[in-house]
Amino acid sequence: MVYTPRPILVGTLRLGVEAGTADTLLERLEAGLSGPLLRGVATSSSAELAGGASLLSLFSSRRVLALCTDSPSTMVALSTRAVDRGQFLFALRCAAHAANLVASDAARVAVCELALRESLIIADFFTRSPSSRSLLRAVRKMLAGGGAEVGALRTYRRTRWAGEGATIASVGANLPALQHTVLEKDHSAAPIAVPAPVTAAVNSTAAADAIRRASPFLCFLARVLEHLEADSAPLSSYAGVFERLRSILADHFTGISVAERQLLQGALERRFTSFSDPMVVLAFFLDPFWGPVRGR
Amino acid sequence: MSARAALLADMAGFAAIETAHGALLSERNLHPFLWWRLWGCPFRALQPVAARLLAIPPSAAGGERMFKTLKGVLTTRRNRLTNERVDAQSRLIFNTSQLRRPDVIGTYRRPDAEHELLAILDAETGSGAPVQAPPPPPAADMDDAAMDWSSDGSDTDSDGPECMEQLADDIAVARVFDSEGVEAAVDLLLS
Repeated sequence: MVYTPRPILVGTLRLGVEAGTADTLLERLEAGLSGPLLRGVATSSSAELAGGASLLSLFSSRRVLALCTDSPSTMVALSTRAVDRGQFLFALRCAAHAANLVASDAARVAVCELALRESLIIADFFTRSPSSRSLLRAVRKMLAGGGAEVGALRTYRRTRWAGEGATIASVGANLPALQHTVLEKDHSAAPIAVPAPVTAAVNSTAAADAIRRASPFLCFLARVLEHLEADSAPLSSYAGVFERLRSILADHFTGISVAERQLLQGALERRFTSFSDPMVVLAFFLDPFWGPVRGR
Repeated sequence: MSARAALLADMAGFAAIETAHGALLSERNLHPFLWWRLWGCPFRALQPVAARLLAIPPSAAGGERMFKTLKGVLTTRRNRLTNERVDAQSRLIFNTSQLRRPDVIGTYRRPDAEHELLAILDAETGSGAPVQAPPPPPAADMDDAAMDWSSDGSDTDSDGPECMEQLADDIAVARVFDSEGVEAAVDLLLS
C-alpha cells in the first residue's frame, strides 16, 4: 500500500507460498516498487546517498519516503534492511498498533483489568444468548419509556484492544438494564438461565466501580486510535497525541489511582520510544496545531 | 548559505511566527500539509521537508482495511483463483474505490479528541500560551542555531526593542531545539 496520501494498493503477497522472512519480503517489496504504478518515483536512493547527498536534498525529489509497518521482528528486520539499502529514507512503526499495545498494557492495570474481565463476561453472554439479548432489549425499552436513557450493548473484535474501551463503556451504560434483566429473568414468559458468574458480574459493586473509573481513559484512547488510523491523519499526531495523553494523565482521569496512572504513563512512553523515529518528532515540531504543547 | 544554516534559520523563523501569532489559532483545523503549502513559502529549505513529512499518515491501517476487499475477492467459493488474479482483482476494486473518494487532505478536519487534548492544556494555562519560561539553550548547539538565524534573518542592530525581539527569537529557537529528537532529525536530514 502506498499513500499519496490517498492509499493506493500496489500489490499483494500471499504468505505461506514462500517463506515469510525479511529477505523474501524485501525482495517482493522491491519488485512491487519497481512495478508499473511506481516506476520512476520509487527508485533507490543508495547511489545518491553514497555520492554524498543529504536526506534533505532527497526530500525534494519524487520518491516513496517512508516505510510504515507493524512491529513483529520480521517486519522490523525488513524495514531496517530497506532503509539501509536506501529504498526508503526512514521507517516507522505503526501508531495505531502502538496505541493498541498501550490499550493491552492498560488491560494489565488492576482497575482496567477488573473492568475488562467483568465487562467481557457480561457482554459475551448477553450478545451470544438470543433469549437473554431479547429480554435485555425489552427491559431497555421499558426503562427508556420511563425516561431513563439506556445505551445499546455493543461488542468489538477481541483483537482490537482499544475497542474494548467502548465495550466497557457500553456495559457501564447498560448496567441498570442488565440488573433489571437479571431480576426479571425468572418472571418473564420464557425464563432464561443466567450463569452465576454473569449474575455476579452484573450485581458486583466493585465491577461497576471499576467500569466507571476505567472507561473515560479507555474510551478516550479508543477515540484517539480511531483518528490515528485515518488516511488523512498527519504524522505529527503520533507524537502529539502520545505526549498529551502522557502529560494529562498526571492530573486527569482521576478515577484511576495515581500509581495506576503512572503505569499508564510508562506504557505510553515505552511504546512511543520503541515505535517512533526522529522524523516523527520532527513532524510534531513542524505542525502549528501542536504549538502550545511544544511550549510546555 | 550552507544547507544546515538555511534549515536552522527556517526552523527558528517558524518558531518565531508561532510565538508571535499565539500558536496560529485560526489555522487549527487545517491539515498541516496545507498549512505549509499555503504559508510555508518564506521557509524555502524547510517547506518541502515539512509538507512531505506531514502528509505521511502515522499508521499502516490502510493495509489492514484492504483485507476486507481481499475477503470479497478470495471467498470460500472462489478459492482456486491464482495469486495473480487475486492480486489484480484486489487492486482494481480497492484502487477504484479510493479514486472515487474526495480529496483526503482537503476534507481533513482536526478530530475532536485532539481539540480536547489542547482544550485541557488551555484550561491549565489560561490561553494556551506556555505558563513557564522556556528553558535556557543548552550551550554550543543553541549558540550556533541562534547565530545562524540572526545572520540570516536580522537586518537590524541590537539595541532597544530590536534587542528584545532578538531575545524573543532566541527563546523561540530554544523551544524548537529543546528536544533531542529534533536535533537527531536535523542531523539525520543533513547527514
